[in-house]
Amino acid sequence: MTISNREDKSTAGRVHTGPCKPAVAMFLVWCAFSFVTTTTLASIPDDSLSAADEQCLKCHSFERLATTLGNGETLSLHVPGDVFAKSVHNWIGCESCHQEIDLGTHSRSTNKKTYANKRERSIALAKTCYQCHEDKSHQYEGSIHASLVESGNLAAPVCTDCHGSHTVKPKAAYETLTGAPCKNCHENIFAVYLESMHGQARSKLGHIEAPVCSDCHRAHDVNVASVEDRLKDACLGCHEDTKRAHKEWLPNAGLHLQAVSCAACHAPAARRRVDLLLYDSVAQRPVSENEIAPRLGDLPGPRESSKDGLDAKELWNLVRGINREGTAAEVTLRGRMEVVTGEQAHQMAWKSKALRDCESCHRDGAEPFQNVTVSLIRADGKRVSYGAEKEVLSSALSMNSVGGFYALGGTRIKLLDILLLLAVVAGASVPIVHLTMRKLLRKDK
Amino acid sequence: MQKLYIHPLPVRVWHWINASSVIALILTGLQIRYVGLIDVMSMRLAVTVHNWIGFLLLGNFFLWLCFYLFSDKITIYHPELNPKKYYRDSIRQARFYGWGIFRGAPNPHHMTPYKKFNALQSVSYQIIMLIVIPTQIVTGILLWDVERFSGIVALLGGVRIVDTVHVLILIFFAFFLFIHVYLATLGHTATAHIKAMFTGYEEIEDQDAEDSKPGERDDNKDKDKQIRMPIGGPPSPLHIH
Repeated sequence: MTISNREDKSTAGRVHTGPCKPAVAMFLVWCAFSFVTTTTLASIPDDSLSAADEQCLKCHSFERLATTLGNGETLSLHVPGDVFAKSVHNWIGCESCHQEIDLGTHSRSTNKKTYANKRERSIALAKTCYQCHEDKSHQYEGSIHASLVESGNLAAPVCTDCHGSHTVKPKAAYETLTGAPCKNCHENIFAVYLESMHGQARSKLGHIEAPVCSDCHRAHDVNVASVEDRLKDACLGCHEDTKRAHKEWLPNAGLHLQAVSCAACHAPAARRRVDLLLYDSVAQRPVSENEIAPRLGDLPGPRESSKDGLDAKELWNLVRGINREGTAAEVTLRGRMEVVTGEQAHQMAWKSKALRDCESCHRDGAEPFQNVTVSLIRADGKRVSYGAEKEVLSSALSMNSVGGFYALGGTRIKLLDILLLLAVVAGASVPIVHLTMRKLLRKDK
Repeated sequence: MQKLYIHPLPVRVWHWINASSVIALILTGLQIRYVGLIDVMSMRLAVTVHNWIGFLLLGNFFLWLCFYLFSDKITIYHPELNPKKYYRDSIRQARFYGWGIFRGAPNPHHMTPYKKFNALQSVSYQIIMLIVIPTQIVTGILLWDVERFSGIVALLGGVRIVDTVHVLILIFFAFFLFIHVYLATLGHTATAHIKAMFTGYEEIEDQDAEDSKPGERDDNKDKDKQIRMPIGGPPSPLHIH
């Protein structure tokens, strides 16, 4: 054995140092190339199905094949074979996902797992996807969609709601205007998006770099657009030069980019509001309903309008009360100018139409400051807004509670206006009165 | 009547830059705050002008600070470290402005180059120059670039509090300007002090110039005498300090 090895090594040495080295090397490269291409091509799915899958389709190709669920709903068991054959999953076959099925007893009703309803079945079967798509499943679990599913929201999507069960297409198919599954639920928003400059750039001008839904909101770890900076970061991800471009003409550009959402200026037709998000400045995250449960009674009830909402004193008491609960949290109100609805947030206009005049906001009675909400995060991750009176932005009582949000002119404190008036009147009066006294008393003298 | 060289050139330069800057800052500040009510210029222009003049005021403040730190004229702000006398002089001065002046009583304060301010002016200007103006400059710089100074702004309680302090000082200056200008007319003629702030020379009554109350010690009396001159005579170069 030892001798043989020694001989092999010596032979190998000769091959590498001999005169026919290039030819042998080329041969080895060709072999390697052939192996790689053959194995790769073999793994690319074609439109054919395995014999086992064809066996399943013998029954499941019948369109009327169905079963009744616990709540009486009829669940179609029909699988269009040609569609499945064209899906990206055709090569893994039926059994990979339907592992619980025992072919020997499959046709007997006693072997069938029953679900209460279609929704329960979809949620349960979605776990099957996790076996292969672990990374995507982790992303999904942290999304607003997963939170809504967990909270019992029947409209929130699981894997199959977006990808279908037997019609899963390649990733690229979802990155087109026609393939975006988001429009199934967010139809109104999608319609607005199509009319926006992003939608127009994509659909009419052929700019394939213009974003579709998942470019901004992400495909699986979809989060509440208005809660964190992720959406703004998505804007800045493409519009990299934004900060410098704004600094050229906008004083305090950095602050504006923090306190004003992109849509507030770039969707000029949208209605705007100021949202005061309850924010834990110690934990650096928005406050959730659970954290201030004892204080929820102080809130007037979720609403979008500011009518009969919290006044400045109530807001002050609310913030003071939360901070007094003895927690380590230090709750403040983080103000941000936003558009009123999600649909309006998608009305992005061309740059030339964006608001650029300071006077749109920095004046008394400016439109964005007429609508004020106070918001926090619900257990399911969604933001819930409570109405507040517009005066909370201009009251001296808001000095602490709304300390982090201030717009020159637009949210100026009225008490200071009165003080200024008094100062001017007093300043002008002193010389007049003093001069008059000097004249009068000297005359008397 | 004698002329006393009271206001050295650096002080006059500082004063007029300061005066015009403060007025411009008040006007542009009002434009920024009251867009819609006042529309003399666009807000963006007002902010730009306000920022530039703010930095001019900052530089000018250091002109003032350096002049007084490195010259013996610093005594005008606190000529005698005698709180009792300071208090007594303040009361006497207040009584003069509040009553004596109506009856034609003489000003109890006798201006000299090293004792330019009366007790009330001295304390007022110390508060203004050492507390009010620096606070206004600091809050102005914070508001100029809130993002850059976001840590300090947050430490102070947020942009609303910083802005409120800035506006409160604006309100103070809006009041003070009336009083300051009015007091400047209380010389032997209405324009005497204002002219003096251009020429440097205050016109002092002969009696006042020589007057020094018995028992009052004035360490700078000898220095003061050196720079008195009769009206019409040229100042010696040595006197211009």
